[in-house]
Amino acid sequence: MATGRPRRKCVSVSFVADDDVVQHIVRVGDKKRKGRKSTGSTPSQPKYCTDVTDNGDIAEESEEEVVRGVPSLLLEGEESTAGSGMFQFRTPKKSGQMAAKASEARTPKSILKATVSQGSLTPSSTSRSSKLQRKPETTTPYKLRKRNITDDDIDSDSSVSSSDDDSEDDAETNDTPAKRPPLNVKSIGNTPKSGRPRGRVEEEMPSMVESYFDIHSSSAVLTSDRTLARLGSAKMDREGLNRVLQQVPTDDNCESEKMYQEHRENFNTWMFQLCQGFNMLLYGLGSKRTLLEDFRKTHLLELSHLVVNGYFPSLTIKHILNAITYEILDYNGSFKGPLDQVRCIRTEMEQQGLQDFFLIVHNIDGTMLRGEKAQNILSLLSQIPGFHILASIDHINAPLLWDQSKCCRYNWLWYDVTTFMPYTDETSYENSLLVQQSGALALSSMTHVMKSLTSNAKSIFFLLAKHQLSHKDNSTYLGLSIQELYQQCREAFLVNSDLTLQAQLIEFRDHKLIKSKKSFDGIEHLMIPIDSVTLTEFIDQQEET
Amino acid sequence: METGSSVSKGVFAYKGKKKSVNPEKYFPKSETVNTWKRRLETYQSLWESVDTEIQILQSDLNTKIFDDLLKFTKTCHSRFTLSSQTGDSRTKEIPTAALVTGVNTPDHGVMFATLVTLLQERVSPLVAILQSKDCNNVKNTLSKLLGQILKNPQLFEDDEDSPEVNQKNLPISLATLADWYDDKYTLNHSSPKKRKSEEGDLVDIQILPPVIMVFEDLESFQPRVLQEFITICSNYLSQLPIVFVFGIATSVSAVHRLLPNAVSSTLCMEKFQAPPSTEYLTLLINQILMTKHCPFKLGSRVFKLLLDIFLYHDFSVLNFIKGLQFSMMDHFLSNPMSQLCCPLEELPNQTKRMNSDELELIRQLPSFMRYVESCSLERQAELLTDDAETKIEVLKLVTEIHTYREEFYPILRCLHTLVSKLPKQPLGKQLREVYATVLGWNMEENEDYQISLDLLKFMSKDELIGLLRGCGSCLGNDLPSSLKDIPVSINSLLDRFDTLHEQVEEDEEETTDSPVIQKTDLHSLKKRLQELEKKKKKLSPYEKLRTECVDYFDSLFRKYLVSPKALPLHELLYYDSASTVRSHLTASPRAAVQLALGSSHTYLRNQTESDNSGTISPDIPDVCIVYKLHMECSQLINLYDWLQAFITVKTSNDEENDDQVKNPDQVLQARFIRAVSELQFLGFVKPTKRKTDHVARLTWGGC
Repeated sequence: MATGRPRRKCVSVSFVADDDVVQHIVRVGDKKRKGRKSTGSTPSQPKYCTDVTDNGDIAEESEEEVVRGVPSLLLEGEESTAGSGMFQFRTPKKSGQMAAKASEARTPKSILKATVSQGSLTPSSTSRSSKLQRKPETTTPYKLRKRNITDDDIDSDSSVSSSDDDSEDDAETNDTPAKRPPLNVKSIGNTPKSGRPRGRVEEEMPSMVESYFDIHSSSAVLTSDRTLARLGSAKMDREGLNRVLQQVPTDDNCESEKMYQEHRENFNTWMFQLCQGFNMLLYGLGSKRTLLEDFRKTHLLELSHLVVNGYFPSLTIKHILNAITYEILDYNGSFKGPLDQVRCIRTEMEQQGLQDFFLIVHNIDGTMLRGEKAQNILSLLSQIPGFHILASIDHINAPLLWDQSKCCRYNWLWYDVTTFMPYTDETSYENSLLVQQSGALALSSMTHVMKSLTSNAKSIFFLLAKHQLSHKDNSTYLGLSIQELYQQCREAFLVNSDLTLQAQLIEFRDHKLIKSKKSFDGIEHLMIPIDSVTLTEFIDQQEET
Repeated sequence: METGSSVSKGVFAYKGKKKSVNPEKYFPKSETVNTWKRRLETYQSLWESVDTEIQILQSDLNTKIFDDLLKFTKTCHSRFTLSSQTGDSRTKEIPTAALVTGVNTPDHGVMFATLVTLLQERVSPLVAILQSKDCNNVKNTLSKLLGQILKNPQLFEDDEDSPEVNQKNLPISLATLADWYDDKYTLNHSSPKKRKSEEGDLVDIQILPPVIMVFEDLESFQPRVLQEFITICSNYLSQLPIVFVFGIATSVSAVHRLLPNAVSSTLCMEKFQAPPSTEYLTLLINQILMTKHCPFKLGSRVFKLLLDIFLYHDFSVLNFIKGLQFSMMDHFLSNPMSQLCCPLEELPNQTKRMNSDELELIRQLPSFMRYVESCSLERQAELLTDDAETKIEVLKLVTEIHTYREEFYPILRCLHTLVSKLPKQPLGKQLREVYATVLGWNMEENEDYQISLDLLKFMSKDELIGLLRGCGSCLGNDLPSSLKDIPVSINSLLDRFDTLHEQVEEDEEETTDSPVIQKTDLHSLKKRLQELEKKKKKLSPYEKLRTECVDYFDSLFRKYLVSPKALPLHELLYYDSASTVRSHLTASPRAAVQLALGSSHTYLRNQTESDNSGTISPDIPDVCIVYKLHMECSQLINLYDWLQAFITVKTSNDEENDDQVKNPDQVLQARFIRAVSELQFLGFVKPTKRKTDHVARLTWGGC
């Protein structure tokens, strides 16, 4: 009706071409990144002392530097592992990825060879693979083995199968041709997704952050449920492990030997630099113990020095200080505290004319030296004129131990001494999941204690142990409550009063054979802090005798 | 003797017979030339002189502020007497010096140490320095204070043991201190002085020494301790002349943040501003690195690296000095001919002592080879064969470098004056930035330099005259003879600028023939406008003179500011091995460990790079295999799967020697256990209880 008469309020419609629209579209990612850039770049710059506000010139100048300041590339090393490589996030892993990776190691050539010689495989591995065959949810290695075995039967058509793989590969992962050897697609055929080439270029910043939280938010664990109990052989104990490892031929030792010799050639330089007031800090993969010991034996034998095993589990800073004062300086007096002792070391060294003293610390980042106090004391020691420190670090986060003032006191010179040597001594105190823990030691100590106990006490302990063993499948087992134990003991005519029971228990407590814990209702529960396997063995042993 | 895996001891002491080391013994000696002794001597004397210069600089730097501070501490209690009657209302406030030091703790230790010694020497022997780490409660603070003041060795030269005994028996409180102070100073200074003060003769009174307490790091003190301590002190003010010195890292307002009004009102603060560390660095660079005295110089890359470490890492001049010392040491250690890096006076002597082997080394230096190639043919033969001639030439060339430096620094200052105020500062604002650029530049190709020159050509007259004056004054008086005429020419330029306005008028008749707008097509209009543009190019006399002036400076810079890299034999006097400095001063251990694990072939050269296919070779060390496998996992790693994967990798090549061991699995298992516990030791994994037989990953890096 009103079409002919244009009205003021009518909506004007104009044609918008596609191109115009496109100009208004801003990619979300771009925008985010821009915002990130503009806000993110400035705070990361080091702050200058802009707080000296009334000296306007200085403030202005330092601000200027902040704006200008982009450190030159000189600060970044040439190593390819720097920065992004070290700290970048990765997308969550699928469970089969490790196995897939491992199977990649089997290059087509080696597989072919393997199939030829498969018939003469060692009996143990064949037996295991046949055992595995029974299990429906198999791992990739098993798949591989199975495939190898089947190939064994038809080893003549290996070329056919490989070409077959090629086509399959192309079909499945079109976007990533020739990234991996063709065979592994077949080998991990049931988990095609896991075969994605790793490091799918670099993730963009925003999604990188998200992927971090993705990983950490999901409480579900993606790994398989297989446990070590599946292994045919029992866990090895420490001695057995060492025995086996001694037989292992140290391969590629010509190259690492060469590296070792190169480091040795630096000994004179080290010594000179130590004399110039610097301290040495050695880092890099591989045990540096042997090298440091070598240095000590070639250069320090005539000089006073102290060797500290930083990885030693019951080391304290007091041990180090005492060793210096009592064994090196022959001082006999007492100290108010470690700081006082450091002061004393300084004066004593001056008085005795000890101009140079060397402290070798294997693993200055060892567990017992990680405390702020220990590092503070060590750094104060390093400031004493003539006090030289040679130390090694191995933990990847070790430099976080020192703040700026400690670093400055230490006056480190860093040396990369990668040796690839096994950390035999350093890891010998560590508890590994794979090693049978403390079985032998605990057992022998228990038997020794048992020998000195009365028969009644022994019986009480057996009561406790058997009760614990009967509950070994109960993960919430708290222990035997003391009342119940008393009741049982009375029934077995082992004790006649609460007091006698307590007297017997003291004996156990002193030898750390039992641990008492209060439950939520305040009742004391007793438990033997030893794993059930060892306990069973112990009881068997005791019942035999 | 073996220190390895003792289960009872972690510390082993060995007493040696010798008490000191002779560093000379360890100076690395190269086989070819026997110059180490000379190098060592040169290094030692050079570093000694640089070190003393730095020490002087350090004490000079803070002189002014310390003088003020010392004066303040000296005068604030000048009216103090021990007789309680004369105590006036003024003494209700504790005089406090707030020393604002700026961030950067390591350097401050040195600063406070000098401050304390100065205070003890010049103001009062009663100085106590309190650090937050010793003072976590009031009692500790007081005992620390009393310990330092009562035990002060300067006080008791005559009776050594009495204070020691006293201190143990006395209760730790300020009352003790007050009594002690009263005892000491009323006994020692007899009554005549008191009488004098009553007479009003203030000048003659021997001022009683104030008790100075220095709080090195005020911000780190616990507020509660500080509040109580200050309140206690203010109560004893009539008996003890207490002065506080607060070391403040941020700003004075920190005091008010730490202390409530009631406490801070007992303080009478005066602020002292310590120079920031950038100023110190500038001073250090100007006076030690950029002078002709020291023959050793940092090359552009090392210089920039050390600057970057300072500006972006730590802000610590001490670390900068450490870097300088290391560079110098490494120069003399690694360069077999560095004994020529000596002061000019010793140079003839050093060259005389060179033998033919050493000269051969000189001839192999790339810069010297380049120089020889530029010579005539006969001369080339001479230089390469005749030892005597080479010696003379070396002496000449090194001397040339020394003279080059003499001219270099004044001209550099000139360049800095000209470019430092340009918009955006293409060459940098600070002298050190300009220096760093010039050290490594190739002038013809340096864009920033060209931009700066272009910008200079747009300067207004007033600005340019200001800059020229600045240049004239920065050149100073002690110029080498070759530069003597530069100030003269600058002055003549200035004169010409001054007289410029007299001749300006002549050119004014330039007619402004405004182009007649005709109807024309776009093309011809464009042409016309371009022509007009060309016509306008006619320069005013000021512009001409300005161009001339800039060109003059350009020629000057081209002549004198050649990069040292272009000079023959610069290797002997400039140290530029930035990678060495970086790897020893700012190493990244984690990168090294991950590099060794992730791509072991970079360290073990006999292994071929296998990364192209992305597969894991069974020949690399066990721990590397385990590491690479663990990179494929997320948070948790199933040990069983891990072991299986490890065995798969390990056995992939083993088909040849199947009869190797009876039970390969046990061996492989053992090797796997070792590798995993090594990874745990390195901090990549840790045991976890979240799932049986699992370990947790601790890193998130890709390989």
